[in-house]
Amino acid sequence: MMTTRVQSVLLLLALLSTQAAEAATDTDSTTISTALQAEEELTRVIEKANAAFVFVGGGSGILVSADGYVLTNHHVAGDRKQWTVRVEGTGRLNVCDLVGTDPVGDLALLKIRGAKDLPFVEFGEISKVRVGQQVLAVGDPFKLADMDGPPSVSLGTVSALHRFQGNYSDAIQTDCAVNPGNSGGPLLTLDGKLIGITGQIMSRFGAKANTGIGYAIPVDQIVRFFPLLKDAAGKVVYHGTIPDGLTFFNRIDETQAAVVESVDVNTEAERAGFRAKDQIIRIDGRPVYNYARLIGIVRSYPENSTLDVEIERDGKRSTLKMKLPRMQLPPGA
Amino acid sequence: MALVISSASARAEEMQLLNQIIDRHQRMHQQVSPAIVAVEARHAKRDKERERDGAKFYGTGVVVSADGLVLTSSTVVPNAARFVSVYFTDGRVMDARVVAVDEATESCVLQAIVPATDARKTFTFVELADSSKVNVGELAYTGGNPFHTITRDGQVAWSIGTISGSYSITSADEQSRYKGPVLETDAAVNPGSDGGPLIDSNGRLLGILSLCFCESRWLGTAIPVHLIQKNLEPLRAMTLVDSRAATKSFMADDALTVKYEHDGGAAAARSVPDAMRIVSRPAAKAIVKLHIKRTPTGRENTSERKTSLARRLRQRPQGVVSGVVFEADGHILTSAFNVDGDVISIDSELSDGSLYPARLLGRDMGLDIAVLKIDLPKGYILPVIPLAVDPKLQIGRFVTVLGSSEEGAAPTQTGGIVSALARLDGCAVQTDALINYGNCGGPVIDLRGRLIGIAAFVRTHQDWSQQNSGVGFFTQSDKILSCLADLKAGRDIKAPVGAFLGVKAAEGSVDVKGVKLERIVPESAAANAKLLPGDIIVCLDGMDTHSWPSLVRALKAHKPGDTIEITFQRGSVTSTAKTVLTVRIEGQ
Repeated sequence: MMTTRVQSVLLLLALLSTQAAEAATDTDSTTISTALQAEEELTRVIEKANAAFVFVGGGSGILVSADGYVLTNHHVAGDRKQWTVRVEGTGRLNVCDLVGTDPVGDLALLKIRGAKDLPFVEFGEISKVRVGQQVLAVGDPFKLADMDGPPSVSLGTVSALHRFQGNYSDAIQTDCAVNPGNSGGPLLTLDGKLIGITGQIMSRFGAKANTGIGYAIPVDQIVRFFPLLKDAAGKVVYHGTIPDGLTFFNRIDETQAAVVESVDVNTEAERAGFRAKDQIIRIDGRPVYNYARLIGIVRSYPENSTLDVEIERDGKRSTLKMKLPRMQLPPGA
Repeated sequence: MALVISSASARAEEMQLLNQIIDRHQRMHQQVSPAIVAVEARHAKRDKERERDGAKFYGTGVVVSADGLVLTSSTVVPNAARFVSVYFTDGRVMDARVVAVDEATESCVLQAIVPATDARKTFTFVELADSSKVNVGELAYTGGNPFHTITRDGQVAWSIGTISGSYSITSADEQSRYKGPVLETDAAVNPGSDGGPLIDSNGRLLGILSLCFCESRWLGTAIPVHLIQKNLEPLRAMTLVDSRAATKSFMADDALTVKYEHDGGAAAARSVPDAMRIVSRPAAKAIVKLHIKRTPTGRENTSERKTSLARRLRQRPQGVVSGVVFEADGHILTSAFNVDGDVISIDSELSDGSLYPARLLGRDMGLDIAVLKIDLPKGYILPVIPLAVDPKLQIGRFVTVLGSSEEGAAPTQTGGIVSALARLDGCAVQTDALINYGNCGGPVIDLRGRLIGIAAFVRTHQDWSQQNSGVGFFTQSDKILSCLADLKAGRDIKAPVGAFLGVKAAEGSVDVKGVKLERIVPESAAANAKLLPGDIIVCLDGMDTHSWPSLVRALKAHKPGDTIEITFQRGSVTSTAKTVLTVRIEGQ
């Protein structure tokens, strides 16, 4: 208590002595002490979040269970069956096995052999994530941590939700500093919950570096694939896609729906009850405002998922079931 | 480090203030984003069945009146393309008519045309702020349609930052011809953001985002709205509101009911940027602009900007760079990078505008630090900020970096947190505050107003030193103090060479205490100590080596030629051995 008081007195003296024109006011000291409180809260959060960070090759990963499950990007882990990773919270090198991989969703699940009582982060809830809230990205950009350093932490914002960018069909966009090497690292709320795995960025001026636009795979998608990855025995898990025989108008307009262009006869789509001109309003309870959004949502689910599809036909609404067939891996995935 | 056996989730009461701040930021997004639109301009009318065709120009705009006036940039709606559509986040798409254009401020006013079938005739809009009265360092937001976020996904791309600079752009390029005053921001600005709003802490419009930029900064800028207003007739009757005045928001669905909010967390949300502005005033007086003259190489960037932007980003610009007076007799610190190469002369411009020639005393290439000296008339007292050592510097601490931009401008200020300690072989602290040519060499200030380091390590070619990537570095004050006597005495210090032990660790389980060895490099220090694969190193010269990182850290405390003692376990036997560390053996 004494220390704090001495410090603030010193601070005021410093301000008063160096600023003839602008004397420190009461408002100034309130502002400064508020900022210091925010800083103290933030440093505590970071200390806890960093412990669960995992260095995976030239990329990043995050522990999501005490018994050693590590999430990272597919483009970090690749097809390699065995990895040596470093856990920030313990400082140790550990052997990991590839448990499952998701090339379309750019996720991979590793498991540290014989692990127990490791620090980890909990899954957050996407429904509670709001654009404008502040978040942390933890990662190892440019491999700066080398063999012994801590990961890098950046404070930023959720810039947008449900972004369709490349093969990230339902991404969280953030202005946290996400750079090459951050791939596979966590995007965390300030209460330390995992809301995404960062994996792609946009760049500007031809620089391969952050410009305030990074994309993360959202936690709801991760949660849907997590059990499948756990059971994949080192193999690939697949995403769902639009059933055969169903085509849509690809346009952006006032319709605020994905509009069915045609339904082929004798297809799953026809049997499910779809008709040309149907307007798809919602899928799995989530609003669909154009064709791209429909694809974005559908691809964020595993194959064989059955989703409720709310349609509008001749001014009347009804709900159909859509079972998602397997999306074939794109070449090179 | 203690093992944390729990998940990382924090309890709500541990982050009361952060929750208030988060809540405020979210509400500002909710309030403002309905007024932000995507703008597309075409040479021909939009074809509804073939949406993407004919879209030649795109960007962002912002609604500034309840009857649908949209302010945007003339880089989004150029002369040749006057068939314009605006896309709202609620999914509505409307045609728009060009009402007024001002080439001087590259701005343009559109009128959104509500279809007869649409019952909603009023729009959510933002008020204009008095941008002539805002300060560098204040909280600011950007919102826009970069990479088609609104047109494709109905999402405004939202970013939080500050007004990081205020200066006059002096050179034009192919993206923007604007020359004149701008507000710079460290919030995200990207292609497609142009025409969009720079928003103040109360949700008002400070300026229209531009693609123009200062070549020593490479950051987003906005053309201030008070300048735009003067030149655009349809805006002239609008009131410019003080940025600090309490929020008044106009919501379309309330049929223009004016809602007055209380402070609503504004002070909390502003606390960190505001505190940084307050505490960095002494540093803002002690900062110097360095004008460096070099022997021409013929490869300099010219003001006409014919070289590609990607190449120019990697070239040292000709503008002013930063330093800071840290001792009142005229000693100045800067980054060694700023004064390397074929330097003819260094002129140091103090914060009062006076100019003095400066001499280079010494450089530490490992720490990227240089000390300069200016000779002052007798009795002349300089504003100064002394180096402050913070032994408790932590990841997550807030910092701000002061720097230079164009000639004649007040210091810039970019904020962030400490991202990591002991980077670049222990020479640097990493921060997500944006660091570029303009502020490299400038003072790094903490929330207590102390000079905790000097922004450094902006190189031109390394990946990790890309400007403004959010991976920036500063050299900490204690490191500077340790080499200061040498530098002041005119002695240059070379970058250190790391010590090499010559072991590779085995992949271990979670239970091994110590570093189990897999391979020993022949003729290395480890080989000379007769270490064998399977040995477990538990201690290096008194430092506990329970893990690989701790062994690396212990090693980094030594230099080649040092004799060290290694304690290791072989089976059940613990032994020690002495050996001399070498430099890295070729090929290992």
